[in-house]
Amino acid sequence: MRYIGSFILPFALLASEISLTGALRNDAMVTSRRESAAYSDKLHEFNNILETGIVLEAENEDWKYYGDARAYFYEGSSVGSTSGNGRSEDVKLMRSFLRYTSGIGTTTLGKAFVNVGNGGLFNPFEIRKLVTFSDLSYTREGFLLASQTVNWQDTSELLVYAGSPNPFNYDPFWGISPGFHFSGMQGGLVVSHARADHNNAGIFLKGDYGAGFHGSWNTVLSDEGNYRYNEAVAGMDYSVNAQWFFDAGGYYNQSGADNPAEYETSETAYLSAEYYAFFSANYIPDEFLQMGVMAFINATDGSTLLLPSVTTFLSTGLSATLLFVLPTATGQTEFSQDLYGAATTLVRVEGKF
Amino acid sequence: MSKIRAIFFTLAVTSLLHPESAMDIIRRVDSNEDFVTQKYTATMVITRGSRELKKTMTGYGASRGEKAFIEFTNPADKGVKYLKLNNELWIYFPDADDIMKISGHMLRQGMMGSDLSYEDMMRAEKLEEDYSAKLLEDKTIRGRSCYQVELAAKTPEALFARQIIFVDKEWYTAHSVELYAHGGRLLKTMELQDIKLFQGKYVPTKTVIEDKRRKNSKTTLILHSIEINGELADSVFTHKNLRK
Repeated sequence: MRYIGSFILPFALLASEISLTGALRNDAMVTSRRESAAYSDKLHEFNNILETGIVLEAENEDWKYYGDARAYFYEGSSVGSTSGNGRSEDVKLMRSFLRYTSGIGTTTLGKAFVNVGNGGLFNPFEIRKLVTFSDLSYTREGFLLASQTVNWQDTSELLVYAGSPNPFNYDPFWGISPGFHFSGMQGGLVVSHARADHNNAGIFLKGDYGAGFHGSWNTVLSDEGNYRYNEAVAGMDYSVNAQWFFDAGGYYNQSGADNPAEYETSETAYLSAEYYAFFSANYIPDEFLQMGVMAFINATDGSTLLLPSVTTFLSTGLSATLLFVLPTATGQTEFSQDLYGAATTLVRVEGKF
Repeated sequence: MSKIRAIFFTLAVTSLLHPESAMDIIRRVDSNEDFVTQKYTATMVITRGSRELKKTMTGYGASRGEKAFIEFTNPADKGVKYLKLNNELWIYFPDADDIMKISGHMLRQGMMGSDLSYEDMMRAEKLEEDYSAKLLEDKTIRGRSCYQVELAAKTPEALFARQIIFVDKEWYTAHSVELYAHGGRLLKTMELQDIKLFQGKYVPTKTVIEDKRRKNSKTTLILHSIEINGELADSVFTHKNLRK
């Protein structure tokens, strides 16, 4: 996969406009436990992730190249042993693609994202489902794919895509999604194949008539058609004085377990249980400060994860965040202190240059 | 010949006795702000107390403000693009490679955290059509003699219930604007400074916007270059161009 960039990069040399931007982010985390975990004898664990990224863009009249490479430096107990901290490094090519814009739409080829449905939390149409509570705006890694969007009079769009997460391990995905937007409403249909035995057929809607709303419904079918389940997300958002922002919703996954003893994690489901509720309240007085709290409630076992945070923007491109991950339950529950620790404190410093 | 002179004399005396009406002034302000296309580069400086954020952009406009396209160019926001088509607003986020529509309550947010809301950005209203006008006492702003015009919204749909505009008596461009809410509260002020002539239009090259609901906050828009009524392809104002 990492050779894609070197294959596409020569095209960038033909561009009329080239830009290079970078980002540096450091996450320092301390997790406090009531009792020592099975893999560590310490009550306080420290982990640090230093991430550096470079984005190269080269564009011409009709096409552009976009490349996003990251280097990660991990340090702490999660990469160590019971006796102490460890260190490791990783390099990832997050995206590397060519995009051609023609009279009918855009063609994308390379390692890229495919955005199907409404996007946001718990989108049932994501090809690989992942939620990182300490970083909900986590940047996904692209897939090797070819996609085509066809626009019609700026009121509707057709997206067609096909690709594979790993070209050396035959596991293709494909999909087609016609979408529309009219007045305050937008929506569409999705028919796709995400992986073996995961064929999707669903609908998504989004709008705003004073308060915002969004909803998606997806039916997942096995290849033989002998097994199926439903997955859905719905929510509402509202703001007061353009400074207070509220969001609430629910997530349903029929394939989720209704008994904590049967919880499993996989890339085909965001979480393990059947029913969830989530809400957030944020206060953003200006561009320099934002604070808020998010809550995820597992309605099957009653456990809750609270995520209070505050972010300050120190200067152009430089921000600092303090985030707490606070599970409320103990025992065999999904958001359990036995699993997440009693509390995790994260300090994030991020700069773009 | 003497009859013609008499007609001119009568017209001159009449215009002195009946100076321009408030609506005539507003028509000339609208006319000065009218454009077929525009392309500009600018810097937006958001200030809160002693802290400030700088964002640079390239913008395009067409159809007398009905269409707009803005691309941010500073490293922290590079590639963020806005597309305005009539009453609809879309944003492209390069980090997610995705397009989001801004509508409803989200329009009241400050654009990129500034004192300029998305609603302000969406405003392409013709003052003459949306407001009734009344002349108040003349005033001098930054050394320029100005008409003081009070505008009252004709419909509840107008963004502001009342506006006070100080219009240059020679250039027919605003030097200062006060924007009031339907409850009578002063919402925003705009100071339009360093006015220069570009292709027959008087354009402020520095605009200071203060949202009076925020303390110690202001946004300054500094215009670096502008090209008015030049050639601009229709493809600029499309969804394809957001993802490009």
